[in-house]
Amino acid sequence: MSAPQPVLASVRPAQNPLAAWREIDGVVVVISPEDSILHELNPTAGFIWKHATGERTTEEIARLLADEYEVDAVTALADTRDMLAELAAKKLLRLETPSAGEVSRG
Amino acid sequence: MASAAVMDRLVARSLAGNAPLNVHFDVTYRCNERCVHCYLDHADHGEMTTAEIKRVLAELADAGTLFLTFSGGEIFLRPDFFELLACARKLRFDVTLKTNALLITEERAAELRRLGVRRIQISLYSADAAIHDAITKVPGSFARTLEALCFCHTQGLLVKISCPLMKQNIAVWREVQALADSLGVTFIMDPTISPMMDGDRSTLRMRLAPSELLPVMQAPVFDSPAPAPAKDDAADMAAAFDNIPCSAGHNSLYISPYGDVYPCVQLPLPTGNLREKSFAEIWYGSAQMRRVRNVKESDLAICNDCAIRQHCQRCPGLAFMEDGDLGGPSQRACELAEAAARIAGVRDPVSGLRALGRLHATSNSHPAQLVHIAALSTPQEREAL
Repeated sequence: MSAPQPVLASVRPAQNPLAAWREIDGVVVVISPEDSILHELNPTAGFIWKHATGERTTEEIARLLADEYEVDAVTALADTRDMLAELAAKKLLRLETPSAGEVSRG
Repeated sequence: MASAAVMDRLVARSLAGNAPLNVHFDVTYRCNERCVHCYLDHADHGEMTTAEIKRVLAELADAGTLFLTFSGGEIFLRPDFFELLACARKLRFDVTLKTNALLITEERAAELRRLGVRRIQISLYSADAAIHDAITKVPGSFARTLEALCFCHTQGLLVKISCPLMKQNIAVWREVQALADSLGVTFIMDPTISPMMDGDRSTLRMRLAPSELLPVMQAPVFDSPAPAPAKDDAADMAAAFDNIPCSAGHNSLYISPYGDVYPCVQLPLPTGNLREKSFAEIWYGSAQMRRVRNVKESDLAICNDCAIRQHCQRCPGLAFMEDGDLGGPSQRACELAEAAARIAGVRDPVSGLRALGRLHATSNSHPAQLVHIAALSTPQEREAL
């Protein structure tokens, strides 16, 4: 498998609509539509997953993560980008391409 | 992370917190087949409407249900079925379908895939069209089901052939398995033949005697049933199931087309109706559901004194349905346990009910047959059956 591509801060990640998932007893589990593997997300990944609705940018999700876990913005953004890249590599997420205007601002 | 270990932890968590992880939802009892062993009343006595089912699905999603099985009756007889399916997928359930597939066209198979249905279980009773059609009482059903099965497989759905075992097809199950292998789909046999929902026990005439069933159940195809818990999570899983008979009412349940909620499709103990109460009210508040959850393995007085307990696969639902006691022994389980113990080499095994002088045959088994089986001690001899 090729290395995950870097995720732009302006990208709006969206859950793969073919994936099934639930949060049960505080733990998010996701079933991959590609290979039927059941994934258990750690709390950080679960937090990012729940906010990956296609409406927020990576940067906005990172800000929410920073607030939730009281980490600095740079660390939160790096963690968010890494996690989104990993989830996208497993085809659990789609990374919506930002418009040209958004890229220039990102 | 290994999927099996994740599943073990998920099941353990859901059992511990009574999260309704698995739901079996019959959306209709109507059917376009008339299978000889079927326990359902196929008349429509007021199925839930599209809006009612959508509301229930939303409540289930909120409560934490992940694995949703749509079954029946024949699910595709509901004109709104694809609408219900789309709703379920939008709510991110992992959906499995159980169907005879008669109404699945190439286009419909593609639509199932597009909607994100992952698994489909299709009933097939024989690789011989005449036997299959005689069981379904629908001429041509074998050919139609097989064609639809191929449509689904071609679309990439995980197809499983389900073969209920009964008098009519006990001699031909290997051919069904061979057919499944040749098609590249999975295969399960189901030996459970239940009384009809109205209590009519005529379907039990089709039920196999232990002497007929056990050699089949010991065939290699049954050597790997449910995957064993992954090593690191075995303790969690074992603890979760430590003192409960099964998952019914703990993390799984059944919903009828009329909105009745039961702990299991095989445990017809009404716990509430979704037209009158919310799902959460029933699941968390029903006295009957609590009654089921309060049945502990350690409380099964007769079973705990049984000398051949390790050979028993008692089902609380069948015990309730056939013997009237959720926490009591089951005639069928005692019969099968004795036969299994004989095959395992136990001489003159005595089940809990026999010890009390209360065991009577629930099928056409009789002592002569059981002795005959006991004498066939080698795997080759049993295989020859």
